[in-house]
Amino acid sequence: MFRDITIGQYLPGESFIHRLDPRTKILSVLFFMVGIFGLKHLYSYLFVLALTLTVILVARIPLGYLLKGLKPIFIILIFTVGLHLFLTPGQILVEIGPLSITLEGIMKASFMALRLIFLVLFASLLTLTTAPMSLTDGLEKLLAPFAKVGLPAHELAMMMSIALRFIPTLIDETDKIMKAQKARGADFESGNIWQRAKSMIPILVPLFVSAFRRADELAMAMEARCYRGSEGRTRMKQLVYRKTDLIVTLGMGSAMVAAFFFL
Amino acid sequence: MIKIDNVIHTYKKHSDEEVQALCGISLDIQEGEFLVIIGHNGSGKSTLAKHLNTLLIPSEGQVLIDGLDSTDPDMVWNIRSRVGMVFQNPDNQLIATTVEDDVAFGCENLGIESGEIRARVDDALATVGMAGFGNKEPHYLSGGQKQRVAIAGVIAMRPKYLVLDEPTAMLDPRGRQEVMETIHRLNKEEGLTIVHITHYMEEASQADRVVVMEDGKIVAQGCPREIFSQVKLLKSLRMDVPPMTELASILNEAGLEVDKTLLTVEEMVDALC
Amino acid sequence: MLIELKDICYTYKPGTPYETSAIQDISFNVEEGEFIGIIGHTGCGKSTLVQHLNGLLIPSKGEMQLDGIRYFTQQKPNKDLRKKVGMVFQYPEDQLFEETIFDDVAFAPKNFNLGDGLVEEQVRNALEDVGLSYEKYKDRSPFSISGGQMRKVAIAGVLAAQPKILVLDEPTAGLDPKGREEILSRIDLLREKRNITIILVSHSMDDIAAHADRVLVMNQGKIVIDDVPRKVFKEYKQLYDMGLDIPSVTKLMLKLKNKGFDVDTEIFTIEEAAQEILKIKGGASHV
Ligand SMILES: Nc1ncnc2c1ncn2[C@@H]1O[C@H](COP(=O)(O)OP(=O)(O)OP(=O)(O)O)[C@@H](O)[C@H]1O
Ligand SMILES: Nc1ncnc2c1ncn2[C@@H]1O[C@H](COP(=O)(O)OP(=O)(O)OP(=O)(O)O)[C@@H](O)[C@H]1O
Ligand SMILES: [Mg+2]
Ligand SMILES: [Mg+2]
Repeated sequence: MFRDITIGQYLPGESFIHRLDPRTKILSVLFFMVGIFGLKHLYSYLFVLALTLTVILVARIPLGYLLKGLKPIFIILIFTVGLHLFLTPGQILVEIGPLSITLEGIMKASFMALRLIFLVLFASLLTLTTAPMSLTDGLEKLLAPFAKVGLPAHELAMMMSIALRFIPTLIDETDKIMKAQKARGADFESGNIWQRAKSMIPILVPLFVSAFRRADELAMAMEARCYRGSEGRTRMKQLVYRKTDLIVTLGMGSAMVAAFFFL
Repeated sequence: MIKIDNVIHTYKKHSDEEVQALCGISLDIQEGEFLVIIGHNGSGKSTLAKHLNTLLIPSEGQVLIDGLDSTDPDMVWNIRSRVGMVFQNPDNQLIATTVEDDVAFGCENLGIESGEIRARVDDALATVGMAGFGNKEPHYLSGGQKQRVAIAGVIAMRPKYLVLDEPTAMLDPRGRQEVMETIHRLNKEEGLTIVHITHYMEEASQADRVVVMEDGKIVAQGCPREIFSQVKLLKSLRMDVPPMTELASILNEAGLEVDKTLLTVEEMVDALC
Repeated sequence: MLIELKDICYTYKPGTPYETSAIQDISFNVEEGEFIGIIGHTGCGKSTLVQHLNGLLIPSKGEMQLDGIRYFTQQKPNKDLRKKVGMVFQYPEDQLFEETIFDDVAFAPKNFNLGDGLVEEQVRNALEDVGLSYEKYKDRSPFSISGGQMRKVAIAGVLAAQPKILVLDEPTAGLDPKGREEILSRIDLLREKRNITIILVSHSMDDIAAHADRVLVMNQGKIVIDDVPRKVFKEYKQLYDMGLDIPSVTKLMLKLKNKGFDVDTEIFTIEEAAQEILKIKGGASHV
């Protein structure tokens, strides 16, 4: 189930999008997020759709693979659509018992759904085309100005990259512990909510114990390789902000400003 | 040279209980040597290893690495760049999401310039036989490959000493062989000093010198032949001897004289022909 | 027949880019009281295979029968199966979670609804079976003991459900030589005392040779040899090709034979080897 999520996964490639500076991509996604909540009309959605499709095409990401990543947000999607569909007052079209569907509801629900889908697609595109390390590097650089006011930019970025590195390991670990406890007769599927929550203890305790041990050993391994924070640290892969990056960032920014105010 | 002089190490547990893990260890490690440490579970091998690069400092006594005192806080980074360390669990020591980023990690911490890191990373990966894996994620490598990446990450920092704490414990025979071949090559070709901790006697029998630990003390040391010919002593210390050495000892007891210090099948065949 | 597997296949993550066919067309039978060793290079499907035996994995294809319980593709196995087949995973100490050793070992018997009196008896038996004193250990925390002891407690936690079949997936990894031998001789003892059927997955040819009375050799998801140890290690060329080894005393005997000595090459333990060498060399020693 976890493997279906395309957010957070990286598909190595050499496309124009892949080669953009991570800062450019992060900023573009930010602009996109803000912009998309300003959209009001159908044709502005067409504009965003065209933009998204172009990016997908240029990045050469298989569309099927990308759409599969939408599966996990399906429930959220249905929930949001349902909420807007039934709770928006306006011109009533159909009545089902106490619930009524309005024209405005349909409009709002579909806009909401589209926004969510675009958002997830675009965020997925960011991680699919950016190596996790360079993503965290980009984030660190973007946050660097805030380090002066005490924001631990380097530490945050390091934590994020370690988290990304350990997600698959932890999934394997959980799987293994679950199997071991199932083999001892543990039952995670039956009973009421309280019983089910209780049945998680035999998984959570070993998981915590091993996570702490891992953290401990990892810290040791990092120290042994002379890690001492950002001070004096250089990078093998240095980020270079090219002219194209500037153009893309500005282009994306202005497109979204346009979408927000004029479309 | 690493000089360990009368080192005592005491762990303090939460309940004010104290465990003396090292009880007066003295040991000199020569440059270019291939040293193996064996000893039962809990005998203090890992504790000793961590003293070699200041991950732990002695409660009493002294550890000198090329004359640098490990208790001197100003020397910590200098010592750690001289003494590289590889740990048991391959999953818990790879930090980055791709192989080459991981190998670069140590060099980046040393403040080396970007182009130079690139060269060292490629060089280190080639040395451990992992060239071409730079863009792979550690998650998709076998255990033996992960350990070789970990070794590459350390040798990219160009240390003089390489300390390996049971790097083969979690590997299958092939992975174990890959790692052993790699560290023997580093020892012979690059002149790296190796301190290798293991529970596998056949790995110990390939060493220049074997140190046997028991309950925080060194109870025997010498070349593998001397050590393993003492079958009774080793068995009493929860250790084992290579099967051919044990066979030789049984044959001798039964009255058939063969060299008691032989270690391998080939030597046994020669002795019998 | 205690266990019967017929044409079992298993595919991980079917229909995704990560699809892996881990085992294919596995068929074999196990009689009650047998000690089966499974060997094979890393990733050949040993763990995948043994996880079918208690229904942790359900075959993508094929059918199996276990002590009268039959189950097929996609059919959910019942709890009885889990009780009958105890499963010790690699690094089993990772599954410990209770505050006391007693509670942890009692986890399985409680899950399988043994009565309270019975639970205590089972915990006692299981701890003594792995060589730990019940009185001394029952109230201690499983996290305050040594690594080797944790391993034993974890194995006791599986034994306490009184399984008829015990599956062990590399149970001795990371232990010192004495600790390894302790665990293996405990397993031998269990089989003698309680007539438990043992299935041992191991990378150590010496251990398999010394303990198993039948060996399954796996290669790339298939069983390629299924025979008694003496026949299996005779196929040393085939084993080498699969990246496997043979016990070093067997290697010695083969080399001696090559040199023209008339020795038995079906030899797997040091004691046997000593006997055989004394037989041919006996004369020479009476100088
Ligand atoms: N962080 C710690 N806190 C308290 N005691 C510790 C700690 N680490 C180790 N010990 C204790 O110190 C002793 C030596 O442990 P050490 O890990 O050095 O042994 P080892 O020879 O490496 O064993 P193994 O073969 O199991 O790896 C043991 O009794 C152990 O319980
Ligand atoms: N959860 C999983 N998801 C996908 N593939 C898997 C999973 N578990 C195992 N595999 C794959 O199935 C194959 C068989 O794996 P398995 O763990 O059964 O091998 P093994 O013989 O036990 O190996 P080892 O000796 O390393 O323990 C391997 O190719 C492995 O990569
Ligand atoms: Mg240790
Ligand atoms: Mg396995």
